[in-house]
Amino acid sequence: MAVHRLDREKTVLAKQLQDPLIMGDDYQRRFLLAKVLSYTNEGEDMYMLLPSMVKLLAHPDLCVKKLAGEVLIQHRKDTTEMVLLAINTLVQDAEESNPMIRGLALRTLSSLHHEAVTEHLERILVKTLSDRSAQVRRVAVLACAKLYRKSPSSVREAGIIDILYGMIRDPDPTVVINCLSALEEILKEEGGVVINKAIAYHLVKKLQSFPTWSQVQVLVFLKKYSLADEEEAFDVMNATDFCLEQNSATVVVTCLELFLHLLRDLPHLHAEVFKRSQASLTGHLSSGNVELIYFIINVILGAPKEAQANFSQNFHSFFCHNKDPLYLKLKKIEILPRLITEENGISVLEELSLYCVSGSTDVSLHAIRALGLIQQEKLFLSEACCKKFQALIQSSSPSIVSNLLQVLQDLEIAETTFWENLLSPKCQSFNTITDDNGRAAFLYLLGEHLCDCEDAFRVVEQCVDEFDDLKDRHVKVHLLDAATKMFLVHPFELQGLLGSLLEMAAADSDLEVKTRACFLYRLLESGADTAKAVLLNIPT
Amino acid sequence: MSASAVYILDVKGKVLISRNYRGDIDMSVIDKFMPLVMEREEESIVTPIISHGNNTFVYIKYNNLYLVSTTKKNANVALVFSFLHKLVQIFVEYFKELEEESIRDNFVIVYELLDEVMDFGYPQTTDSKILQEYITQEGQKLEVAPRPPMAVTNAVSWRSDGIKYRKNEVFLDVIESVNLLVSANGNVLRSEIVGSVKMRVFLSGMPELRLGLNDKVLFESTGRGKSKSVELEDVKFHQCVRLSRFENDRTISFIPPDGEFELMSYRLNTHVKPLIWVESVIERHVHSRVEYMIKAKSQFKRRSTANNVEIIIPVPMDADSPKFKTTVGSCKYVPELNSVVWSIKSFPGGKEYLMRAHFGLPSVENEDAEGRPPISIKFEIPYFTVSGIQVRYLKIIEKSGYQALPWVRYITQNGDYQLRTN
Repeated sequence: MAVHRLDREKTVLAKQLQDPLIMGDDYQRRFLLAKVLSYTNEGEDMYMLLPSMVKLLAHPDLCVKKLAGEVLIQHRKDTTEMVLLAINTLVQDAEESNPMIRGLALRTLSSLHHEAVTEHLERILVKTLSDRSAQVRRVAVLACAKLYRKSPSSVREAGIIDILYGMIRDPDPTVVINCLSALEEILKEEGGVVINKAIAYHLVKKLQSFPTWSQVQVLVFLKKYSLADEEEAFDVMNATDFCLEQNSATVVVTCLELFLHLLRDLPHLHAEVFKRSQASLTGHLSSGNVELIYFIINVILGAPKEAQANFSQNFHSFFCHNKDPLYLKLKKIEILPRLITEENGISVLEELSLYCVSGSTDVSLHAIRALGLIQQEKLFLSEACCKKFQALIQSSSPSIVSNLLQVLQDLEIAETTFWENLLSPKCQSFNTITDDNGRAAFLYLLGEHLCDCEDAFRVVEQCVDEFDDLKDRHVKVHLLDAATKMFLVHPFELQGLLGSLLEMAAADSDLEVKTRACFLYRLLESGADTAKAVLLNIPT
Repeated sequence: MSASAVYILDVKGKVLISRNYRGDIDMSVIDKFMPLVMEREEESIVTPIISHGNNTFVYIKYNNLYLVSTTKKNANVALVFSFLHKLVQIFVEYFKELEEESIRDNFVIVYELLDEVMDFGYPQTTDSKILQEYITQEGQKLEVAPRPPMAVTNAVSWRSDGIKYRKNEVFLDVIESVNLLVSANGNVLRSEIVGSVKMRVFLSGMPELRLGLNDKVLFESTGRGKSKSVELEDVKFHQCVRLSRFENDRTISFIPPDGEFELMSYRLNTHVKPLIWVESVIERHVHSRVEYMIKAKSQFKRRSTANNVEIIIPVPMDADSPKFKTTVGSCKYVPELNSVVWSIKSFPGGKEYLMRAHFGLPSVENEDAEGRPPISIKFEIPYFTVSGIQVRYLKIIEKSGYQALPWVRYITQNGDYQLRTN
């Protein structure tokens, strides 16, 4: 059905394209062509309309020319004859007095990407590269790259490469950048465009007059310049360092990358470069352009430690906003621990603990992880972090508690009182830990730190009773470990319990649980001392 | 950098419009985009850069639209982000607002613009002022065929030759946005002022402008250290300003682009007293009701007035039957925002207003914990800058010698202005 409807639609379109009433009206004509183009973009075959498109290429309305040309370009693979028909009009247009038409014709012609076009294009290109209109030159330069993709030999033979090198001195910035980009593509196999001293200095000199896009690209291309000596690196940096204070974050970041590249053999100066751009980068963090902020934070995260320290004073700028997308929040949480100093430590900690109780489980998990990291790495905050953990374990939200337990699993905290205070009250409310990851982590922690507590035995007992209902492999494995460890400390109380647990686990359908049970059984068989040495790390 | 193609998608991932720039990818690769985003959202690892096979999607989200660029080569991601944002800005300047509707209604223009801003995957003219010279809503005929953008012989790339106005005028807006973050216990965590000097220039020819501010560095170097002046940090200028002159003698001199643009921006990190302060007491009675008492205080001079103040107070998602009591302004419950909006048309300095709100809560508790979103405030204070920055003069010199009128306006408004609650 749908196919029929579309066929009918095409017939109607074809008819309308012939209708002088519709085609005489600017708005309706454009609208009609836009419709044809949307169908084309959706991948529909508009072959039957191509003759009209070719005819419309000669239409005086620039927009119509453009749309018709685009429909043709998208169908270029299916038809040689239509392309041949179009060439004539386009070649004529390329001679027009209006530069907009010359430019458009050249663009359409080069995008057709068809053998039949190659020889015409080559001839026209050589001519239009020296066109007096910058607009035409811009198109012509990129058309060279397009032609190269179709027919590399014709670009080389026509001496276009030399012409393009010469055009790097063009007065129009966009032409300059297009030249560099085109050369980069054409000379890809030889390592791209060569930036020699003359070109590099010319670009640096013109940089300030270039629009933002061009500045970014020049800064990228300057990376290709091979410096004569160290001193030259500083010359280039002096001439371009105004870019570090631009109001475009992209320019700032690209300039920063260039500097780091220039100083790649002098890593001790990298922190200095970040220091220079610190104010500018921080300023952009409140720009509201979240994707770019994400990118900037990534750049800072990639910087060496001493360089990151430059951002410590502005740590507030890295606080999460309520409306930040998740990926940005997580990035900010990742960077905050690295900005900690003696002065701001408590403030950062307070902020992070706020995220710990956030409604989003992911934010909470990452924030708790960040606290864990701080606890391990920043000695002066380790106690404060422990207090935060104590507070978090009392949270009424099961997901926060579960997240916390998972993080705690990986922390090395020697104080036994910390663990007792944290874990033993939770034993009574073990049932409030609802998810398997949390339960597994809790059992693991009990085995590690709380082998001496009645309440912990209760938990293990309860889990053994419910063993048949347990689904998760890790819960079972950690239960086995915890029970065995407790048994080693209090053999009398736990003997029976462990016996029935091992029996059930050895018959489990999960291979890993089974192996673990057998392993523990054999370990116990080999004697208590050996088992203690292995599991509790007590030397025999 | 080179983008293979650019797509604009609706929130469901349906392509509204696309443009294939290099013809080196299968355009249907976009069908993979939405599933990839969803999959990553599920696992909370979604980022604005997604690699898939040898294609990379770099995208931004705006309103309910995705602007996606695909690239095969190693692209400069920062450039792509700025390019896509620039695209949004161009569309907004053309259609006032960028949304699904405006793309459908202006399909032809959007297409033309996409065609113009990029060629073979490389950014070209993206200055909307210049684009508007030759891509317009109205039909174009050959006889009025547009000239190509900007004459190449120009000394400056941002201004065309031969601009003419009957009345030569310049409007200068000094706008300061206050970013504020206050912790739940009333500590100011972050307070910063982001200033911007915006201009609308309607001047003929190639005018030379010079702007004088009460810049502290300038005042000190010229022996006027005692006059009231402002220390500007992190000053960024539009490309047209001669940086070397600013560095030498702090003169801001430039040939302006035509029409609207941002001349400069600056930042002040000094702690200022929050202009509008809100204290909140929130009483939550689980399973029955939640009560709010909000006190708003204006902490600026009595002779200034804040206009269109909106205090946006988040409430639980499942709150119902709102009741309000306030002495000033009006309150409205906006379920889409899960918030109460308290609007005060005019809020003079040194005043204090109260509002009480009451909501019912369902007896069954909402499953997911929501966190505590902050109170945010919108306001606008005319004729006032927090920093005290002042325009001392704006000189306009053009070789034809016409007289031009500068108009200056000061506004202080909220930026990202948030107070956390308990």
